[in-house]
Amino acid sequence: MYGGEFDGNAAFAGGGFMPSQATTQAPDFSSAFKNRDVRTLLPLTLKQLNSASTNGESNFSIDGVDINTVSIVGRICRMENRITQVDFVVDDGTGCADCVRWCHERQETEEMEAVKLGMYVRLYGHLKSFQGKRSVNVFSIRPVTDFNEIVHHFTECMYVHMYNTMPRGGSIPQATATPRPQMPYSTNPTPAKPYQTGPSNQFPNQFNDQMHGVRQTVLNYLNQPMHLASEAGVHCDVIARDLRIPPLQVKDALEQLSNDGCVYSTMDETCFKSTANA
Amino acid sequence: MDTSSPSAFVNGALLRRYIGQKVRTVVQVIGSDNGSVVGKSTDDLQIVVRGSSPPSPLTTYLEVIGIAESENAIRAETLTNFGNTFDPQNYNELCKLANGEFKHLFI
Repeated sequence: MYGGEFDGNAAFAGGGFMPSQATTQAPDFSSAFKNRDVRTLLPLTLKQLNSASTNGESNFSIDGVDINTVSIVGRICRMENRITQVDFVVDDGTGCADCVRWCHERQETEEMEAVKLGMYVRLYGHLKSFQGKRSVNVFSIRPVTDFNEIVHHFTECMYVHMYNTMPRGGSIPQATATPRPQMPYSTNPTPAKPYQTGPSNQFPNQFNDQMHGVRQTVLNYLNQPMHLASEAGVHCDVIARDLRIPPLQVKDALEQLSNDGCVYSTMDETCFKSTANA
Repeated sequence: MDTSSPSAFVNGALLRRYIGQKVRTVVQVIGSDNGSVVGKSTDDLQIVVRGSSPPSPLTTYLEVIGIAESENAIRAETLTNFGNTFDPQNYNELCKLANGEFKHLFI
């Protein structure tokens, strides 16, 4: 679909704009081992792009991440059609950047014909430096039709900047990136138990002891591999029958487990599944 | 690549910080006559836009890039229709962030 050296799989499937493990752990080797893992797709403002540090002709980095592919949203303020390429300047309000779109194939020419002077565009390209002058080698460009995309782009720039500059460990993205396998009410007690909420959990041995037992039994039942693998979950009556616990108690236990985020209802309010990983 | 003349994202309240400088904002069009447009900023203040003939027909939302003349007037260089489904609240929050915590990414 795309011309040039753009590898859609690497740019979009290989972790997107987030820095990969390889980038964060071994920045010194990243240029030597240009593989899929170190390819990044960064949404940037042109002010950021201009301030990116460089260690040579085309090795740029920002916020500690190597710049590979960039995504820019801005307005075309100058444009010049040449025989083999279109030269244009894009202005996103934070700065202007010289861009080149090489047009060898018909599809590339058609894509460029849809873009007119004064239009807002979203473009993807590589940052190049030639004789100290930076420009963007564009390999995909399209007009912005929903102007909320502009707000979204800048919001994303701020988010990615924050993500890349935030100290690692204990941060929010870190927590969501590596879901904790250990769930509350887990069968294997661990020293570092995740936080629990709700008064019923705080004093498990003092209050409501019998109810706690039922909850644990129901959760253990739903944590069986057979039930974890099931898409639809297990009907509460089936749980009651298998465990020989009165259905009302099972329903109470499921409601509490659901409130604590240990189980969830699937197709309707009667079938349940554990939130633990299968 | 040139970052010497940025245009700051502003809402009605932030406009006064940039008098004499280049700004960009989005207004909801209230009315237009004789080449000037009266609009409502994303934080509900009135802004008068002069100096550039508005596109015809105008959509509900209009982006204005130009020089801040006063705390409620912009001399426009570029006017762009932003359609009828633009979200002014999101834009307003962007203006605040772009002039606050994340100013260094913008100007």
